Amino acid sequence: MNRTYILMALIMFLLGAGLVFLPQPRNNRELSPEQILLSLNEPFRYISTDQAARRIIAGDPALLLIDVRDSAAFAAFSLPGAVNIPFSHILDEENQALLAEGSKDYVFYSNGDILSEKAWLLCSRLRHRKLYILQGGLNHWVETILRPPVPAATSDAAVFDQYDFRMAARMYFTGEGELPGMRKAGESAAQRSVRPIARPSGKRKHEGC
Amino acid sequence: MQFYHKIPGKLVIAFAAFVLLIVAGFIMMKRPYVSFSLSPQESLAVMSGDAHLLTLADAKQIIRKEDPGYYFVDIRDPYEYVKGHLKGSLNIPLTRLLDKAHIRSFRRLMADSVKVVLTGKDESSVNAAAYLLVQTGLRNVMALEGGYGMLAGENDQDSIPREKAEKAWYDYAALMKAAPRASESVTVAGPAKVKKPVKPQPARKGRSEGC
Repeated sequence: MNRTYILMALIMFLLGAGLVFLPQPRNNRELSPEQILLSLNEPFRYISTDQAARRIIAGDPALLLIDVRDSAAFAAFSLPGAVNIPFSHILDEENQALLAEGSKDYVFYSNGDILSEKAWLLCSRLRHRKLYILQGGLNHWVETILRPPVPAATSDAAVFDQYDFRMAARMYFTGEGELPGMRKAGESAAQRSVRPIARPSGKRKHEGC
Repeated sequence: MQFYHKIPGKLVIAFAAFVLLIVAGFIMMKRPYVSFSLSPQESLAVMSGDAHLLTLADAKQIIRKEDPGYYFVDIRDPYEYVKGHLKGSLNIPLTRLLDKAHIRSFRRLMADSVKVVLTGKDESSVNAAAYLLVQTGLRNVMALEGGYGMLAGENDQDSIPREKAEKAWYDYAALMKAAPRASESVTVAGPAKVKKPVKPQPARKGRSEGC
């Protein structure tokens, strides 16, 4: 009996020694590369400029725009309601605490969407949730909201609706008026004024249902 | 307690089961093949620089000279790759980028100090993938500025063939200033009013029609 105990104790020691060869504990505070790669393929990590404009105008309290450019660029121009977290300070404690709250949709934006995507990549690795990127950044913001291209006359009705929204948003953000080199706001709207179809003349006969 | 004495060798059986469990645990435990080797702070430092961005001018020169120190990988979907791609580039769709075989070959290329250049539709489609690989310790991965459409000089509708995507293309502050204030010009140009011909409907006669 005594020998069995000694043998068992020995085996347990050997197993314990095996712990040394265990792989490093997984870092559960970070996502794995595979998990991030999966979310890279999802288009809804982007927020379009139209969506952003709509939410800014509506005063959506669940939207927080984060400007990742440097503070000088932020001081010169920023989107309404945005906060400035320069990319070099994104890992600072207070900024991480802000993102960790997770109570809002955090939308990163920069001039394009390269720098903001880097911020997104770093922060989603650190397991922050509800992070988004403003698609195309401020350059695209100018091209869609501040200077919307006039759609072709043959475009779909939805495209015209979008154009109307963008013109309205442009007025909202810039204060009314024309930007240099713009077509007049009413011009295209007048072009596509719809002429109601006249009713066929002649009395309608009694037609039951 | 009576039953306790009736099973012979119970201690040994229990012990064997325990040991088996632990050994099975050891075997099942796998080290993940790919994991982040750069800390967030190191990654931030790497991302702040331009060391992993291959400019278009450099890329064109490399292609012209057929530099063996660079290896082009196209991360678009296969059907896009088939439609047209850079000569000599390999297609690895974005979702397969972290496959063991690919990671292994990237590591081998790194050992041979060959750079892996990711190309795609535009820069923002390869940017995140490139920095994801860089963070896993593949220091030789680069993103191509502009993307494939830019390099081939074709006018791809889908891509944004602009150089320096991260540069401010406009002077935003000046743009906002240029817009006259509302008080200066109140020309709300609404759509021209269209007169709707309203036809008075003839009064119906007493008879009710249909249901």
